[in-house]
Amino acid sequence: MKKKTLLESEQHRNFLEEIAALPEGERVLSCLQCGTCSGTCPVAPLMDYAPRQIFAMIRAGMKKEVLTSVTPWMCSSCYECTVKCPAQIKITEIMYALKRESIKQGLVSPGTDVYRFYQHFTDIVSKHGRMNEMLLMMKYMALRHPVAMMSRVPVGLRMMMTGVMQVQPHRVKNAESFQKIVEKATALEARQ
Amino acid sequence: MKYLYYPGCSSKGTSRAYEESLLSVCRKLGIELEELEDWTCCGATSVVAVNKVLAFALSARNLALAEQKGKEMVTPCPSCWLMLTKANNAFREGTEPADKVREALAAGGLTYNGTVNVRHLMDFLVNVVGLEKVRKAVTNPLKGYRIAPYYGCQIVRPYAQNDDTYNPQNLEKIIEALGAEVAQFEGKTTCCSGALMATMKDDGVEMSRNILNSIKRASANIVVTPCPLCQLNLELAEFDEKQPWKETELPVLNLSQLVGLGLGLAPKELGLSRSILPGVEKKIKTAKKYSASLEAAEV
Ligand code: SF4
Ligand code: SF4
Repeated sequence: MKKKTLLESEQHRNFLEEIAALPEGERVLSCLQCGTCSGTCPVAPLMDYAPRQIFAMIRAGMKKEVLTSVTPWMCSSCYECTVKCPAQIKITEIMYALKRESIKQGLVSPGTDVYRFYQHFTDIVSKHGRMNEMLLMMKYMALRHPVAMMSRVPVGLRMMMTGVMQVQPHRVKNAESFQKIVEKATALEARQ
Repeated sequence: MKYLYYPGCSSKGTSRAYEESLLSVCRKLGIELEELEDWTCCGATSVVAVNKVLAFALSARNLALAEQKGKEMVTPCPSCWLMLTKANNAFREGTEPADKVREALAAGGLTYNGTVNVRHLMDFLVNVVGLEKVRKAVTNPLKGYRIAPYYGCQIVRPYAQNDDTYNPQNLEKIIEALGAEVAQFEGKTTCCSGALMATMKDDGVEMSRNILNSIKRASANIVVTPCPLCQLNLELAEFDEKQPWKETELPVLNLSQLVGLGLGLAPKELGLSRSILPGVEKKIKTAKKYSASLEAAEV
């Protein structure tokens, strides 16, 4: 029978194995700590730990520190690190995996709310089938970033003028099939 | 031959001009497109940050619908192209999360067998339409323009479709086919900041501005990009800089807007007035005059 209680220290020790066991984590054990990823990352200055450090921390079993880090949320998915890593580690995919993992474990960094943007994006697409940029910006900014939102009024107005702002959210034609796919995919994701 | 067309969400919103110009260019070149019926979002870089199975299922749904209609699909958006390609690879190679995605599609009565080929517009123009055909269709050679080829990230990384990841050339080839000169600059595949422009504007503006500055140092007078988000972000960075805009602000065009200029299409057919920077049409004209006067001065 499996142990019911895992001591915190033991959980940490398993962290490297957990990450290595992910479909995107296959090569994580061969990280050379060369720092190429940190050197090429255009957003490294915005991160609390540069990518190389994240891999060192994974190896050291610093689970909580990694999952509460803002690093994965700063990643812009530019794939610079992925194409340059000499160990061919799928770094960008691991950044995505760390984002999802931190959501699952309820450890999303309090230091950023970029997470909310992705969550609203996902909710809008799940509901309407297509992105509605205006709706997304309203949802993301209205309550939490009212001042920043005001600073975007001029560009918003300009975009209204040029006719690139959709007001009505999209409606999927075969909505029933679409909703079933979304529900099933979401259920399968939760089971992982 | 008829090609399926996957617009992607931004083509119906902030990047309407990309769709307008793409359709005009294809009409002019005699390429028949059919918009994929009932397509939905590809998930971009956002859904996969929250829900991986859903992200792949969204892309696979589009591929499944496409499979019922044909084999070849073209899209103007590098991010859509990458997501559709990732889903395609998972199905073709049987890698994770293909099984779960198959199950999700089945719940909605769909199946996908991995037979659809997805191309980005840039690859489509170079390798399907062919540069020769583009060259022959040019009625307004873009002589006198120095054009900066700005690729952005996802069209060359992690996969570059029929191009080089580190030093891609497809945009250069198109620029030359249109009769213009290439302005080489540092950072043609550097990140514009992507979605960070929405979430962390100041940092996003700085990243895009660095690219613009590099382009300006190469004395380009037009920027062309195959990515709707790169176009938007560079324009937002310029818009943020100073209002009203100086003559030195660079027109940032998407790929089909530039091709359309060479094919002699009218500004309206290319959606030029939808640019965030007002007066882009005029700037394009003055840019040419300016270059012409430099050339005249040289001889
Ligand atoms: S580039 Fe690859 S091998 Fe080098 S530190 Fe980064 S992850 Fe490790
Ligand atoms: S993909 Fe993410 S972590 Fe890698 S270089 Fe780009 S921003 Fe940095």
